[in-house]
Amino acid sequence: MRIKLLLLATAVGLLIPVTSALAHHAFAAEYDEKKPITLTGTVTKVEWMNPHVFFYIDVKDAEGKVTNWRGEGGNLSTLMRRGWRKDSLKVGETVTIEGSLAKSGQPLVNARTVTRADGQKLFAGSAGGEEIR
Amino acid sequence: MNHRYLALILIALLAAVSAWAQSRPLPRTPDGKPDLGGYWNLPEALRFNGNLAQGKEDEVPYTPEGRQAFLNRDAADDPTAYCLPPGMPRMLHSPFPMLIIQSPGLVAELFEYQKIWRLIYTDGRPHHADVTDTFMGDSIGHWEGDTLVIDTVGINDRSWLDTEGHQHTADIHLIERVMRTAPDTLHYEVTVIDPKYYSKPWTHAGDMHPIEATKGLPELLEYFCNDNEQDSKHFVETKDHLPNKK
Repeated sequence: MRIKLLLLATAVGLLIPVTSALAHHAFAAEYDEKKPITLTGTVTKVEWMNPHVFFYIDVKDAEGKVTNWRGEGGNLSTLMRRGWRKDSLKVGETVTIEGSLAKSGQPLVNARTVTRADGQKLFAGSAGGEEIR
Repeated sequence: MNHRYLALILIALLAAVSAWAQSRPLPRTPDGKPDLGGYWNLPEALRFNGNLAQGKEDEVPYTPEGRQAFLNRDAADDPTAYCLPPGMPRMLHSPFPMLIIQSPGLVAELFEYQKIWRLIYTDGRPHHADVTDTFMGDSIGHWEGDTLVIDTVGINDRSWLDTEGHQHTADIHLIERVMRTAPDTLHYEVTVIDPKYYSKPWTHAGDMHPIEATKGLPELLEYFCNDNEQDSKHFVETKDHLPNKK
């Protein structure tokens, strides 16, 4: 099973890399690819809508202060063709997202990957700077 | 059987499959024209990672005005970021498939991205004189042998040529040449003619291949950009490529 998943992940990565780019705006206007960030938190809301899926996670810092971060994923077309569905990400579950920080200084991140507590990686399918330029 | 024979058989099989693939006749419509119809994968053809110059910025045939317009662009002004249509020719770079439906006198392109359609009249009519200042323009086509030649005018100056931000004026005139070069290949060329910004025609070309539906989904999905657009309010100016901004 693990091998099958790995093969699937590899195939998806090889076959449709360009479709993962942001469809409707340039990455550089909102996010800084030079500021990678990794966050772990609890999903509080999922907005399954175009042009991009948004999910919100509560992240606790070292002092215990909780900030609600917005993660931006790909468009629904790309996500659905990669196997995501509306209920793939569930409110209340713990995830780790890796992505790029917003230039505005707000708690916004463009998520490249979303990893579940059990290690399963969901493809956020959004743009890395290398794909949009 | 030793490995040598196995290899020979494999090579013969591959050659046979290749010959069969090439010998398949091109699909044609009842009027004898090549049938361009089907679900085609746009991203692999003309998108060029959102940059028509493909990293060769010094080869772009700018006029001085065209170069200045490019240097003055700001990613925060990208029209599609505000859910405006990408317009032509950027429509052809969208990272989603399109459906071509062909009938006598008309070729229709239906795009997944923003559910935009485009009608190309091949019935001999001239351009519609009063279609001006539109995102997708007014398109007429004719056949030169097996090539569909599309002529488009009437495009406004509110769209970008690509995600990189190459600009155009409202005088832009497009000529597309579309050929079904194999049953599973659509060759697509787009020439941008815009003398105010480009000193000579600027042509981009690529091959498209059919897209298959994902299990449980149709070939084309719904995409409405303004359902939940939340990005533009967080944009920052990105004119750091200008000399006085460095």
